[in-house]
Amino acid sequence: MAIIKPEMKSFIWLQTPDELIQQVEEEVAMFCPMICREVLRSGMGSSKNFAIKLPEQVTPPILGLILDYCRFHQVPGRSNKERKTFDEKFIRLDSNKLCELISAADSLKLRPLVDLTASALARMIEGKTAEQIRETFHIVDDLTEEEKLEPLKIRTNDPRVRLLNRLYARKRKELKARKNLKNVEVEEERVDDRSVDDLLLFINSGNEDSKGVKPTKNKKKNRRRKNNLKEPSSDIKNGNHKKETGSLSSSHNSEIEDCVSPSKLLKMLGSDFDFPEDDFDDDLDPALMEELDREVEEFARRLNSVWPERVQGIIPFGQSRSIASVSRN
Amino acid sequence: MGSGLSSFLLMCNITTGAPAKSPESGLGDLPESVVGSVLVYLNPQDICRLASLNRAFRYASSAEFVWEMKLPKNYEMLMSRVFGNKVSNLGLGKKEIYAKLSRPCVIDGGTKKVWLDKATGKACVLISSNGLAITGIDDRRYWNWISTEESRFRSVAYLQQIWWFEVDGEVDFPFPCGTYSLYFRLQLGRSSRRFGRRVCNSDHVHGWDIKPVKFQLSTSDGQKAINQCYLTDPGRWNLYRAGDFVVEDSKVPMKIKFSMTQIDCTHTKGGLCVDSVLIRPKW
Repeated sequence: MAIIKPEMKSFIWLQTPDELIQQVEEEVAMFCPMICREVLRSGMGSSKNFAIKLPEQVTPPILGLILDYCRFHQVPGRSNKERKTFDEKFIRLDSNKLCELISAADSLKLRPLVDLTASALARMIEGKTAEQIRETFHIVDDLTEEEKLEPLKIRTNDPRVRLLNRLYARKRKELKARKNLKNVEVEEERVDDRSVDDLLLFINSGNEDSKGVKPTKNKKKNRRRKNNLKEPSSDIKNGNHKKETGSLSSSHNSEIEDCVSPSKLLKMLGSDFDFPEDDFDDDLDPALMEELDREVEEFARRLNSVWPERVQGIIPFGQSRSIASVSRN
Repeated sequence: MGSGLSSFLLMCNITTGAPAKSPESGLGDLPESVVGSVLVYLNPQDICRLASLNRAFRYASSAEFVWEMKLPKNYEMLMSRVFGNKVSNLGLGKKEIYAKLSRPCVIDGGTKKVWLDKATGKACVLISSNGLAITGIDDRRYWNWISTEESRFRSVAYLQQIWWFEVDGEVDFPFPCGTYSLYFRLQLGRSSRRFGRRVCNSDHVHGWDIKPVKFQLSTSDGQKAINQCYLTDPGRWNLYRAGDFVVEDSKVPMKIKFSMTQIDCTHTKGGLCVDSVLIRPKW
């Protein structure tokens, strides 16, 4: 009868954010780079009192999952096929769990698991529009209207980009005007709320700093951010089109050029790399302005028109626009 | 029952004991760097589309490491080949480089167009007919230039009739690693627009059904391909494949020579439009 001696295994002590402490086999825990670093750098984890504090994303259930992953993969003798099979089974979780898992794996710097979860999440969201994803995953849209209308920072000579930027600039102006209007209204209300005494005080101290009721200026957000999402997508739309027709029929391409054909006017006025401010329109001749305005309107109309493939998420104004899904070929 | 209750209470204590709340779960709460890791697995269309999702997605969709994965390894060589040294790469983010390279860029004096295929991240090169060496192109009895809207270039070469049909060309370009196919874009018959409709005149089309046309290509590192094919299907632009080649080292520009010949001088042929030669990643 063989006597199996229990091996002297060493353990690492880990503490999850809910302050529960547990011990984990050393080779399993050391598979996580963050834990490994902590052990080697500060010698933590050797006993219950010196448990390594795990980041807040690593809750006990998630830690359990991660340890399962580490326990499997740290064994050196496994074949690639075994690992792949394990991974495929492992990743069959719902999206919330996957999100928790990816955050936790990221905080532990466990790159292979991050990549595995990322590809699973990508499979879930690929091909969907922003609207659909917001619905499915209950994502709150935290972009302000101004951020959505930031001009594209693509330095090409594409007149469509310039047209789009002008459209955005106009929308921003409208937005600002609306805000100013609102502020003025608010301001008027405030004045009404003041009592007679206050008013007297105000009148009496007229010469001094009486700027108590100055309308609040709109904070201009810093627009010089790198935000060039639209240009590639509009190109990509063209590219997508090309692929869908199969052969390189450039009659199709010229159709695309036609539908968003910029006038010579815009080409002439377009600047190259400099980034136009909001007020660049003001020094133009009013007749020219009108012409430009009409062109921008036309452009906006075309963009929002019925051709679903072309509109595909290109302008995120207002969540109420329904965006048809792209047929991928 | 008593023990059941107490163990239930114990369970409650354990779960509600510590004040730490569980981290929010959900796609919308992922930090930017994690979102970036997810975006890496999506194609460029999706990445741009999702930029309007929320703030984390917006910034992640412009992240350098995301677009670096979409660019071919030799993108710097491509940039200098396509744009020359006048555009310095210093100020450009990877996303902008990708945007620039993925639209058709004119090179070599207008005779070629180059772009990145968005699906594969490899280069496509289109060589115009005026970048090809066509035998007899100067003789108006044989060849003419006709302007057309059906080409990416402004005009195509039209063959009325000839005995010795030969079109050669070559290209020297830093292709990213991968397998590519080379095609000739041809049409039997001459098309034009009449009363808003596309009309194709096949009057001159003759001689293509007697003997096939030989398409060849050869590369600087010794790869060769030959294909013999009858030209058919008048009135439509077709891509006739010459062959495939493999690029293994993207650091060395690949030189490719290609040709299309039908030099059996016992019969004439004609009525052919030659538009361009296309090199694109093999599907």
